[in-house]
Amino acid sequence: MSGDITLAGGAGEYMESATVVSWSAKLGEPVKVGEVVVVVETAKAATEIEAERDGVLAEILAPEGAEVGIGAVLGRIADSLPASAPQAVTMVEVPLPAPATPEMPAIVVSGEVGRRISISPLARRLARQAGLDPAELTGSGPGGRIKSRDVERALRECAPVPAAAIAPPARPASAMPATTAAPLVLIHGFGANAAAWNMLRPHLDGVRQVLTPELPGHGRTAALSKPSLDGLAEAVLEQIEASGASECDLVGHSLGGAVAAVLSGNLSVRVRSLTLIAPAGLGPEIDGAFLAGFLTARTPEGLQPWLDRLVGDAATLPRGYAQAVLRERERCGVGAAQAEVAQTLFPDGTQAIRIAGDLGRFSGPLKVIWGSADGIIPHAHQNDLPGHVACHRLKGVGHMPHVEAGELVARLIGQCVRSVI
Amino acid sequence: MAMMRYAEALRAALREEMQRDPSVWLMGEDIAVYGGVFKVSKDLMEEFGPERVRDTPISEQTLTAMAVTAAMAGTRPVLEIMYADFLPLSVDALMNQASIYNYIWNGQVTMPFVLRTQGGGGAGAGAQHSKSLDALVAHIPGIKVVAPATAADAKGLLKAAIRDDHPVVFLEHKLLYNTRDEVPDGEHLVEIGKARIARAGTDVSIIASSKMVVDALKAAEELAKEGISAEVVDLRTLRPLDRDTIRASIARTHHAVVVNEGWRFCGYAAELSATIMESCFDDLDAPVERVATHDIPIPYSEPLESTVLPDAAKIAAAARRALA
Repeated sequence: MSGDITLAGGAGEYMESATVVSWSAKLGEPVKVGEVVVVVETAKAATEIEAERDGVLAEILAPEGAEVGIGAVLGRIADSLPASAPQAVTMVEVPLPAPATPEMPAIVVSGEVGRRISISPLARRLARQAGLDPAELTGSGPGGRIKSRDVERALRECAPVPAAAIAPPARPASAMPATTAAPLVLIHGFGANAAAWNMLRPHLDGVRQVLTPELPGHGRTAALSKPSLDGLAEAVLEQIEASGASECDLVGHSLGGAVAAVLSGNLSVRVRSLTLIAPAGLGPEIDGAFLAGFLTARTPEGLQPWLDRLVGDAATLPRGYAQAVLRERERCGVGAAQAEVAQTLFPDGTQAIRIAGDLGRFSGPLKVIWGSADGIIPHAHQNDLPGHVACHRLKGVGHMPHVEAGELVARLIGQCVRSVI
Repeated sequence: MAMMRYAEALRAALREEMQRDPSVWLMGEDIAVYGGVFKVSKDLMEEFGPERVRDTPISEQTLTAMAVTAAMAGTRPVLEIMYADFLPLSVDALMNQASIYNYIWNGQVTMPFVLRTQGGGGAGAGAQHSKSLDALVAHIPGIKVVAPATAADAKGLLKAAIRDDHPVVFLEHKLLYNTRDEVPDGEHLVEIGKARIARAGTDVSIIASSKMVVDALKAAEELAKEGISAEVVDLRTLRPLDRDTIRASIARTHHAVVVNEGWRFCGYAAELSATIMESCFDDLDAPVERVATHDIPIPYSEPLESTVLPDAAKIAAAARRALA
């Protein structure tokens, strides 16, 4: 402890300065902690300042009558009087705080001033949930303010479109420049979207370019009026074609795996290799309760138990996954479109799609990766695959190997891609 | 259950509480022999005697300080200030004594008194007898402020206020005294701090208190003819404010009209508007609309007075603006 006797601001925050009224302690006399040593006065109130330590009042810096600023040292308490103890009061000029000068606000000149969008807080929230860009909405409120009814109208207007008129993806699959090189195409599973690959992608270094098309009725891709496996494959193919690629390596998860298998024989973009992660279409079994529960859940609490079933260890699911799925579903028509996909491809909790023929015809490198703890599609479907398929069984992993074991899955994908002659 | 005027409901509350608790007593100007200018305390002196129903001189400042000390001394005074316009004389005792003693004396002192008063315009009573000074008292931490709109709430809230150990300012409205509705008999208590939905609706929430609830209900009736479903929230208590009921209503309607008969500038409606902005921002589909009295002394002239005060038509217009 320094021994400084200081005028603290705490006596009243409005106070900027105080006047020393009287020194209760005498110079050179002993003081004890808690004893009043000096009395100061602000505009209305006298405040006693106590000694914070035992010692001797060694110095008086602000004599009675002096006006002192907040933080000023009024005097000092020492263990003993210094050898050259001041016999008289030392006059020290204590500066008052300078009046605060407001800083000149920096003037920012912006070359581009974006159009300020007038939108109500509710409309902004609804638009964000639906994935709509407020800049693309027309406001009907006073002064053109976008209100919730404008968001609702926009949502009504983006109803599912017929299969013949599949809209191009709202954003290019991953903003790839047109290229003739073979991109790595990742096709997500049922109920997911392009973001499903976020956990895998950091491990995909060294891979040329990555495309993440979305299934119709998922993410930002318009739903098919009559979903079918071929229809889904066709829509994904259009997205691959839009990238300008003439050949590609395909990776598909679950339903996306079946789509990849169907695409493996297409004639417009040559498929070099095929990596299927827990693919659909290899047997009749699928967890119907999961599909029903997943599709009907409306709250994170109701959805979470089903999502937990997706993985071997629930801790591997990213936080906020349930919320993300529900947000996605709030987007125009997504929930209904996915229900229809499930109804058509997996009626009554049974897989009504078959890809064994497609796999049998594919002559390039072909890997199937499955988790031994898959609770959605049994890994036993791997057992009947033809001999040219490389099968990897990941112990303790559930239905989401690319999430649960991203690094290994990326390594296996890399091996498959590099094994193309 | 009985059909009862608002003034009668208040009298029933006073009588029941005086019968129940001998420490409850009344004081005010002309409340004993004359029975109060609005006849709220009629016949009570005869029933309870001049010791418990006391006429006082015209000295609001002193009376309020007396109520404070009488409450500290262990009795439960109910003070009537004849017009809310004279609340400023009471404010010193409310603000510098009643509201703070419980705090600065570490809870050793309770302050069980009720200050009843009435305000509001529409009676041609002029600039000194027509004000609504809700904000003046609701501004003070440590004071509860209630403002019932119905006879049933007048009874239930006054009984609850008399039993409360904290100072309660009880705001009545001169135009409500003769309104009637069903009032439960006997032990009818309304919890202080709880609003009620006076009319359910889905398009816009009109948040009001005291006589403005009556006007809001008329406005809702008008709006219904246009296909607008207005919900009317009757605050009943101005402080502590029932934010939960307000939030729940706006979560349903996404549009808010706040109404208060006090002056607009720095008025109680401004507090409501700020509260809604703070706690319901993402639910709002339009700016909060505020309906309050023009910022001038209340005119004596009837046409001018009605221009200045909020009414059903102005509330309905605000609701339409919110929904535009």
